[in-house]
Amino acid sequence: MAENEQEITESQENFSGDNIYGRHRFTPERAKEHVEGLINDFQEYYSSRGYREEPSVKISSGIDPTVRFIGSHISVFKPYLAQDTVPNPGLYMRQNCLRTRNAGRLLDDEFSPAWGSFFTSIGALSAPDRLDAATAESLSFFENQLGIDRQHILLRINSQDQDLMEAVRRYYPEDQLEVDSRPPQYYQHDIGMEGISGRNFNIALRNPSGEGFSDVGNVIVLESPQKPLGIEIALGTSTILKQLYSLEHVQDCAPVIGLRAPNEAIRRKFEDAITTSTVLYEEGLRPLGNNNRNRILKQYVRALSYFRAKSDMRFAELTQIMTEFEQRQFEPSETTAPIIAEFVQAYERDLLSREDLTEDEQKIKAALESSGVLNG
Amino acid sequence: MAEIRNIIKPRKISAGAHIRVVALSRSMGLLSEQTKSMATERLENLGFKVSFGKNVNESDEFHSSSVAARIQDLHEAFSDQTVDAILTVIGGYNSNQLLQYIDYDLLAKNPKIICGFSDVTAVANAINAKTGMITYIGPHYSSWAMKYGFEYSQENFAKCCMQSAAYDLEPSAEWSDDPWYIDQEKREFIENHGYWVINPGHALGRAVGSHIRCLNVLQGTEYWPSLDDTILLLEEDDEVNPSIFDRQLQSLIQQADFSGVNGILIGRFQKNSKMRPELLEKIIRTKKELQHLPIIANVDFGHTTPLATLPIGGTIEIQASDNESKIRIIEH
Repeated sequence: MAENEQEITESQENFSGDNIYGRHRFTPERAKEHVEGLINDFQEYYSSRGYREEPSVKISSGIDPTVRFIGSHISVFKPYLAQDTVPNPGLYMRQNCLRTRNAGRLLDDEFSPAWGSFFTSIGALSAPDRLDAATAESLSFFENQLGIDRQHILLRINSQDQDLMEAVRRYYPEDQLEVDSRPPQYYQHDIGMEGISGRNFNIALRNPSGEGFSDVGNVIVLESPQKPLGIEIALGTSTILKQLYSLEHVQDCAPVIGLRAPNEAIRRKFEDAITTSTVLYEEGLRPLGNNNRNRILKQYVRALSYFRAKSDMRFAELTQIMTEFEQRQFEPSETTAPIIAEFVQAYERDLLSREDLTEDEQKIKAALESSGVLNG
Repeated sequence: MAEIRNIIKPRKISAGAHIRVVALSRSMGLLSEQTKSMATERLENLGFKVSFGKNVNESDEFHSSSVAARIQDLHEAFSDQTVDAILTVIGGYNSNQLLQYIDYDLLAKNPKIICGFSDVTAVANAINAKTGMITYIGPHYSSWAMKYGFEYSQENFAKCCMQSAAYDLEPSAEWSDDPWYIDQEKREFIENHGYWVINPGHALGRAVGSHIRCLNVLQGTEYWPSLDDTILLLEEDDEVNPSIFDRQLQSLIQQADFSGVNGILIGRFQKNSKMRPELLEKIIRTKKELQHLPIIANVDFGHTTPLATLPIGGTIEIQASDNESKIRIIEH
């Protein structure tokens, strides 16, 4: 047992009490069920309106050369925009996504990430002449499919975007619009396609405490200088569920149960490193090679050593936690957790055998040597 | 630099699995009836069902068969949903004739263990380079006919192809360089004194290579496996002498991506190659590109027996030191 047991936080916290949505925080064991439930709601809603489902792709598929990993369903939709062939009424999909902005700060003890790297997005792409209809559908999804009272929904919009203003005013009163409260870039989208840009309004849900709102998605007009090419609806499952169920963190939608750490910042980054490593190993990516994707995965895998050292965690415990997480989250035919653990051990042996270490490697090595984990 | 594809891991096999035998180099017509029956019997005794490609016995002036015949057998083995794994009949000289005719998408969609060595090196590395699928350098179908001294080979085939866990590759207790396929009773087993540590150090990487001349035929082609972050596996047969080995090694070093090699494992040399530890060490010492790489030689793969099964595209860790050396097969 770690000496600093009193300081160790557990991910399995109990919560009681209703929030403004009349919902209880769900237990970690039921997180996946809630995520899948929300995705099912989305799929059911858009398919019932004639949208066609687009298959999701691997995060590391490389189908979009403008990104290292798929970070949004827009990567899958891009060919429709490029060829101006968005069908009517549109397409919808679920897509596992990875945004690796945390990667460079995993070893920064002061950094506590607001976002996990992995999440599932749900999105739709509607025909370019359907701005009004797509707006109505997206708002109806929240109100009618998810049963959220309209008073808890706020739309953040730029007054310069007249078409968007007209569309939302048809359905929402002025007091539910937050106009020009953010810098201009907030209402603009760059999807990495030359000659195509986006203008958006954001959908925010009231914070479960009742105070303030947080963004959970947006509706975006994607257009060339000549004409609109499509209307994108982009929603994050974890941001929606965080609001509806009073979650402490978006990562609680895919929690690593049983993980302990000396403080919350390390626990969240430890969780992020386990999740990201598992997701990418599941896809067949390995932290070998100098491709950017492989190098980023290496950052997460190496950070596991740092976090296990900081948490005084032996390999057997780490492997068990990762295995249970993987089985619960992905139900694989063969778990990759033991292989990840083997890589981590190999990296540690490498660190301990070399003297030409980078600053980060020195930090990991120092953490390992000052902990009691090197013998197991 | 060639793209490193995501790993595709073929499903491990167990008793009851259906093994298809295909001839990618020389024909099964080269094997004696006794060799065929002993190999089949040993595989069947392990609970495997053995079947053969339609064209395995076709034989031409080169003791091989047409490209079309070999490709047909390979594609049928991968597309037949009742087949679980594939063994090659024997080595030869021409499996690289197949490379531009292989339907790599078909293979990637139907991943299966494919195992063989020597000339099969070209196909094994090409499949991995084009699909990311792990392939296996290990016993041919014909190898399974060996009456004595096959235990280590079988045990390591099982560790690599029948189990998922990582494992340490231990040196065999003894080895042999007999033409066992000519006389099964006349065998000489030599005590194995263990690995030769040429350079100490630690390395982790993707396994690439094996028969060095067969690997080198891939240079400059789209079938070349990237050397980025790799453990290079190198071995030769008794057609080469130390000077020829040196030339082949030098050719590898001159590849643009050789700087990505993290470590080298060298398979045991045959007696007729006249390679000795001090000669090998001298060859390596003359090449500055190798000075910083951990290198272990006299490992149980290549053309002596027994031979381990090694995963091309899998992950290997080397810890080389004068006191204790370890080769760990992490992912296979």
